[in-house]
Amino acid sequence: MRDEPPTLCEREFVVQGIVENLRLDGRSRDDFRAVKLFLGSQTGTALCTLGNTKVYCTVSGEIGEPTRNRPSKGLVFVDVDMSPMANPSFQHGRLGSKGFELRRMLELVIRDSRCIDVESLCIRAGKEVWKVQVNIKVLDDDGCLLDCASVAAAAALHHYRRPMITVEPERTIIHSEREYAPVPLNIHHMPLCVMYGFIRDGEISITDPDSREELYLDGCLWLSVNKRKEICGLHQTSRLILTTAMIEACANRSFQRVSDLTDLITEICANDAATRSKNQVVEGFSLVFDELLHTNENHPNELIGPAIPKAVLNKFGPAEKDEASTSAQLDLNDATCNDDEMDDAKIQLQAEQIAASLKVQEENKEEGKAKKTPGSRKKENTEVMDLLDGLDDVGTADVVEKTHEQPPQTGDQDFSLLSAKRKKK
Amino acid sequence: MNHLAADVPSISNTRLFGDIDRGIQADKLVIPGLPVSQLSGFMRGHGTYLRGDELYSSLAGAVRQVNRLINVQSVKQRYSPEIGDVVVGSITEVQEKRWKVDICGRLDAHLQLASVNLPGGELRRKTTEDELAMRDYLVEGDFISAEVQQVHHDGSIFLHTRSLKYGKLGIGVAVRVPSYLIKRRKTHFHALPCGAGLIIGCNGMIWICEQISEDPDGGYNIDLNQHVPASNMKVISRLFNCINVLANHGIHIFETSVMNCYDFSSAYETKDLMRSDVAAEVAAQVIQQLRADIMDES
Amino acid sequence: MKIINEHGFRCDGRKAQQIRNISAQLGMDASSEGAAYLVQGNTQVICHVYGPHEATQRSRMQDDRCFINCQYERFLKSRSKKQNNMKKRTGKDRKSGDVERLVEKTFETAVFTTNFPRSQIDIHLMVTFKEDGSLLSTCINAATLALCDAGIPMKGVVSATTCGIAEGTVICDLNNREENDLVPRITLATISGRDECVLVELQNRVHVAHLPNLLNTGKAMCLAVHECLHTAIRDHLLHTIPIS
Repeated sequence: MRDEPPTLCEREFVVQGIVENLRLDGRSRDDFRAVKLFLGSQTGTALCTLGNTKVYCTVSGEIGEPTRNRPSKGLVFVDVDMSPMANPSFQHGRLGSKGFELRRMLELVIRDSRCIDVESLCIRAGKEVWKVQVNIKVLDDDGCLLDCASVAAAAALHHYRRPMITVEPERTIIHSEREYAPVPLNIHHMPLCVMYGFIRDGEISITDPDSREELYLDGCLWLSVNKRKEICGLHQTSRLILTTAMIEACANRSFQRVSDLTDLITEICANDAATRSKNQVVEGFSLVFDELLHTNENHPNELIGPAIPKAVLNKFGPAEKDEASTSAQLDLNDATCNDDEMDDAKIQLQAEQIAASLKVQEENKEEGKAKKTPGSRKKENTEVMDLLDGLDDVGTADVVEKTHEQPPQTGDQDFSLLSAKRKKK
Repeated sequence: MNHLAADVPSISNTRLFGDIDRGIQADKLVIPGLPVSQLSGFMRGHGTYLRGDELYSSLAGAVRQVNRLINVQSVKQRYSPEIGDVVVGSITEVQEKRWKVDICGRLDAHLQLASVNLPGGELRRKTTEDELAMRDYLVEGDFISAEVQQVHHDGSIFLHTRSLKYGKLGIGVAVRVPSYLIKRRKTHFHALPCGAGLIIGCNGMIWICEQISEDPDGGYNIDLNQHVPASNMKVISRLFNCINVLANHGIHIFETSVMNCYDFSSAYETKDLMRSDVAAEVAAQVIQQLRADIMDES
Repeated sequence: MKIINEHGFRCDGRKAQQIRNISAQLGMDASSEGAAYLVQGNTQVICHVYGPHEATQRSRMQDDRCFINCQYERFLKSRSKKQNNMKKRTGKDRKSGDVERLVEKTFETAVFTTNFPRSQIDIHLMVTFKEDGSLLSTCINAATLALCDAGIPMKGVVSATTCGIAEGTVICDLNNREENDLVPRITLATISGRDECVLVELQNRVHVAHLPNLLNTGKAMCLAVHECLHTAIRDHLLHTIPIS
């Protein structure tokens, strides 16, 4: 499917906003979106969301022969799958030019920066080594894929445990989990990526562009940095001319961000390891659907950790606007309903949760965060009848917003008018 | 005369004529990214771009100045059509109501159904029957000679064959030479005294055939099974080799230079013309003759 | 063996910041629009440019500009079985794909693509049997020369160089032996030797404190390479104007 060309008027609007330090979602030029990281119940799996961008990473290992040039070093492979789930212009199995760039940068970051100790992956020199395969799948593309993918990959690599090996003269024994605890990979450092977008011929830069802003940028600079202030990779996308001073400035700005992200990953992995060592059941991705529904801060008591500790969350800039989050909720709702693999019971449970949470959220918006009981819905319906008389007042932009959010849930036009009226008041 | 054009492909030939005065000063040569003029107040022509307030060159070539207009002309460039050019091209596609013609330019040219003469010389509006019968007139692989009618701002070119001298071409041979070797002249259709016809297309395609004929049918009723006598074939093949010699040595191709080359080459066998030493000798003689002609005229 | 020995020389006798000899020939092929043959030390690259012409890859055709299509080929002395299989399957191996994309991106910035809507420019690169490191930068230099020869308007002559850091000093124009040692290296391409980078590719780790030094040396070396390319183009122009 061919990409539609971006519109010119929108481009002017977005670019001007950036110049005035105000982006479409209210961030300033240097603000990042909220990062959420989830580790799965199987070791070596991680899901990272950066705003609406979602990337899933799995790490697996198998034993194979090493290359002739490096007989005592393990192998690391990186594979990227741009799923059409993310963007209809992606093709499954075929990497477009965007996918190629992404894969190349991730290979640079994961393999060529030597973050994994490949010598420790050697079992028998020249015959058997561990081949670590990093598979990255893009689930949703809302800009800044590289950042998200690098966080997911780094977390997955930290999380991964390979089976224990005993080398005997005649054979190699691979022990199962029950005999010996699986061994983590030996990781020297954690390189993470930061993306800077440029407009006006490289004069003004923004961090963490979303998919709409990406269309209107002149180009991007992709930096890969680790906590020790070492630069592991640099890449400049096309149609951009930079000066070396700009490159150095971007490098210096990225250290704080990478340091925060590294702390996040280590903390989450440590939590996960602690849970496992106590032989508790790790919830893994079953938390994901709930979590992704509550992506705004209406529920400060609700679970946003164990994914993100609260202290770290506050650093990551303002949460997204309500509209965006509710539409995300709806999308996921449809996805879960159509998912054949889930049990009906699970679906039921989640549907109830969704309905309850949405209702609660709706009421929060109307009443300004005061909790309401479900019984008050009846009262609202009677009020609707009264308000239907004043239909000529309705016609502001607010109504449009609200109807956009509500239809699949309630299917009741009046309800949305009611909320509009409330908001207007 | 300032001539900036082609490039001699093989190194040996370059060095052979290395010391000939090509009429250009070394300080007027620029490469992309260099400033073109130190003075201000010039208008920007082709081959330059504005960077801040200064004019920079975007091509590798020589700077030409005409009053207040500065442009840079590169040695080699893809053929750029202008209105009124005579071109020789081949049909690549038959589309609805038009044909697409490959004229070795940046884009394929369009030949509209409304711009051709129908067989029989009829002047009428084309109907849907004509549309369906387009393949009977011109099909992929046919050679035509046409004139450039329009050049749009986005680069698309429209041709027409609305004169009896244009149309589908019959039996003959095409030579492709770099387009900068072709000068624009009053006429591009020549009936050579040696007994062959020559169409010099401005796009670098040269067509050599038995004779130039003005076919009232517009050439659509050509019988391709016609037999060409052996003597004519020899003339055509000698001309073919002559034009290749001229192209390889960077000599402009027009009627006079082709005839001179033909005359000087009669001392050798046709197949010997493909040898580099013979070719070089013939080329040197042609250059001498051309220079002598210029001196005589001035 | 150390990369820089105690006298300050590298394994091929150069000093730390000395580039290899560059020699170039342009326009040696009549069939393509532009052709260039570049020798940088022991690495030899031939480049042919065709175009701009009607776009044959419709999926990449754009209505307001032309796109650049690059094909890169390399004579490998011995290909491993896996590389052979990959070549049979997809026609190219992964490294070629990377080089092609990087060259395409570099020249999409440098060429005035908006002059040629709905067209395509083909760049064909071939690395001959002799290859000795710095492949990407040599390919970019050769492609620049060929594009100049073809008369395609560009913002400037793009010159590229590969620099690395070994034992704290910056070394320029790496050869194969130095590249194999996994020295952190950066390939930098600038327009006309000015401070305008069109390509920045860094591999392996380098501490940020070294970065300014690395970038500045890279820029200076790009300027040096640009001088060589400039001379080559001028020389070619002087000898190739037609006679009438």
